[in-house]
Amino acid sequence: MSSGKKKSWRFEIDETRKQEGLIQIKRAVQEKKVRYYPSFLACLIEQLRYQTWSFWVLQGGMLVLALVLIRYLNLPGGDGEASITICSLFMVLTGNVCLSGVSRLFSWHMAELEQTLYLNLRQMVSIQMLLAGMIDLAVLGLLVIFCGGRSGAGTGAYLLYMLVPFLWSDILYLHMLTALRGGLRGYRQLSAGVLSGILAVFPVFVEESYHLEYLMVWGIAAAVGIGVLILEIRRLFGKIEGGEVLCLN
Amino acid sequence: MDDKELVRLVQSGQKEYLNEIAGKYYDDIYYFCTYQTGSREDAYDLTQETFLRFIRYVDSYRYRNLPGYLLTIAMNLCRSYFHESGRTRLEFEYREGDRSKDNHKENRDGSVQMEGLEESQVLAEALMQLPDMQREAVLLHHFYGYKNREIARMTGASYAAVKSRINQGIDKLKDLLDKEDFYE
Repeated sequence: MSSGKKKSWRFEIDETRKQEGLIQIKRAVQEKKVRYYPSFLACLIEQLRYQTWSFWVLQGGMLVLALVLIRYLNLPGGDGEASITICSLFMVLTGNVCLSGVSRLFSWHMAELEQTLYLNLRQMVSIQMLLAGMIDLAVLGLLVIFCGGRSGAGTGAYLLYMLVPFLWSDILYLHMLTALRGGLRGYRQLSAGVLSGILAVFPVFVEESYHLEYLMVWGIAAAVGIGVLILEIRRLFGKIEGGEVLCLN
Repeated sequence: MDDKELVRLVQSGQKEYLNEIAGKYYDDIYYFCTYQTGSREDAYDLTQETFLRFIRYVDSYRYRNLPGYLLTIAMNLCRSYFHESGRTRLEFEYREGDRSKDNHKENRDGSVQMEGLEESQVLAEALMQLPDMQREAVLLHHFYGYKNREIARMTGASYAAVKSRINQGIDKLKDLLDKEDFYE
């Protein structure tokens, strides 16, 4: 611990006082009950072990679909604007499908059960979101790299066109996880999907929305979306922590 | 046995190794608390409290740098020591009989030992003149051998702030001690 350069700053310690202190420490050690706290990585590996085969099939399926879509959109004679709309719809779909892992944690009294069993719901939700985020990023990366350049909008603008509907659909989805925990819970996934789809297609109905002069609007929508998404995640964690939505009985 | 292995054994349930950790780092933590608070008596309590807190939180501790972690606990305790007790540090507190004990050491062990003890007293009094943050940084860097980046992580200050605190602290110490080659 010490540098070894100078030892003159060390003076004699009162051995009696030191031993008294060490005895107190020894007492605390005897009373101590060591608990096992797994690291975040250990939790992640554990969660991955318990994912169902349908989860992996679904994630793999989304990636394969993304590749098929890229192949189809890269065929000669494709329409740039249509390609953006299709890809943004696909991104929204991927976001919803990937977040279904989070949705499962909140479905049909599952959250209550998990909380009652003293499972760390916050950690479980974080890990599910991390997994969903990784697949989303992979799909987004593939679409931007392979379709971004050919759309005529430029890679940066293309990224924004993909990101905005994706961000807002995720916000909507996460909000519904806690907002629709009543009688409408059965329709939650469906309603989130439909609303997100409308959100993604909406720019098609606004004339010249994919033109460069509106890029600033897309930028603002993306920045606000990131902010709202962070707030929504905080709200979700707050609900889990506070338990005002989850009925603990 | 290295620190990583000690922590691993403790976290696997062999809590008796906590005593080994306390024995290994007791002196280092004690000296730090003494120089930070200026009170040799209160430093014993603060050192004990440092290890009690470590014992309380050892389950969730992720090994990185054990002495650094212990010093960070001690540093926070020393900060709240002044904040909560409302005490102000004026000078290094010597216990009754220290001087006679030192003289006794001199007669028994020779003059070199006595010089060392006197040097520690002069140094301690000079350190007491430094602002808290500067003293903290100087202690960790020059006495405990931590790099600026490590101190920044431990104290939560920026790298530039730590560097500046160390430089300013050393300049002040040199002025106070009037020994240009003290740390050379």
